[in-house]
Amino acid sequence: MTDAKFLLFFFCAAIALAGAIGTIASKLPLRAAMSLLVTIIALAGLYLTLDAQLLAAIQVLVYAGAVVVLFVFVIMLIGPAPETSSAPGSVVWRMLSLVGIAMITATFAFSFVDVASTWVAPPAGFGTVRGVAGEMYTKALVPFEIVAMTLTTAIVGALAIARSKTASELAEMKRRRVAEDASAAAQPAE
Amino acid sequence: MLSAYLPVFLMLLVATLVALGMFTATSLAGPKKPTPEKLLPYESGSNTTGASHLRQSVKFYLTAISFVVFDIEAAFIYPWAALFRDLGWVGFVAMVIFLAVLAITLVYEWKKGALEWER
Repeated sequence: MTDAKFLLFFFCAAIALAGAIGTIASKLPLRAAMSLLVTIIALAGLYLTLDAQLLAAIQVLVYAGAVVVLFVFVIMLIGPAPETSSAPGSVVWRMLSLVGIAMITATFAFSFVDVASTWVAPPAGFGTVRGVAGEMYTKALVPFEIVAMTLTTAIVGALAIARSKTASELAEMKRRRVAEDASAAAQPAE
Repeated sequence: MLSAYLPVFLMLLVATLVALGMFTATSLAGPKKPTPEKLLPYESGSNTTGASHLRQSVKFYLTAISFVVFDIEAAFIYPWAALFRDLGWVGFVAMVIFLAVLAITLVYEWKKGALEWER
């Protein structure tokens, strides 16, 4: 890592952490979503320090541009009122969550120690559009196709939640409404 | 490599400074003579009615998730198109399967009436 990369890494890491703390500490859902946006953009900067240029661009386009918008829509759907009942957890739960955080940190730390000596510099053109495409569309075709299935699942799930009507159901509703209007018109006004 | 992104960082920096500067300048330079009437929420000169935050229709969510899904589809097509000739027939068939699955999704959405605003 060059000095500039090193600086950028710590700069982006600090912003990402600040955004993450804001996301979980904010009582207003909309403010949490905006903090998440800060984290996501800082992560794009971290990808740049890892020579993953395409991923950094996709991160900004898809996550900052679309996924955060989706989160904001969900907040608007369920109402953006702040969480009122934020009763502090019991001591046992706090202890358990601290133990959980310690275990996750230890797991990551040990696995990083294991691979740190085997890290090599990425090959030329590693994170560019052509580099990613060459890897993804030759060696990762099955995960690529599974992405299409996952996206389909997202649409089907959203439709199931929103309970859209089929074309025949729509026709049935229209027929019923017309019939009701006709019967209302047939009855004399009192 | 990283120096190529210097303009991007400069732009982010300038944008942040301009936004912060505007907020600071208006709060510093603007005259402040608050009256109880001025501190009321403004709603076209009439008294406010109802809550300030309203629930949105679920139709917005359906539109948003459709946008996300087909946005990701486009994000996958872009690197594929950049390497189209080198990938050959294997890459072409892979993308045709990918697009076919998402085309089925689009037809399903269409038939379910999710693309209709009024229903």
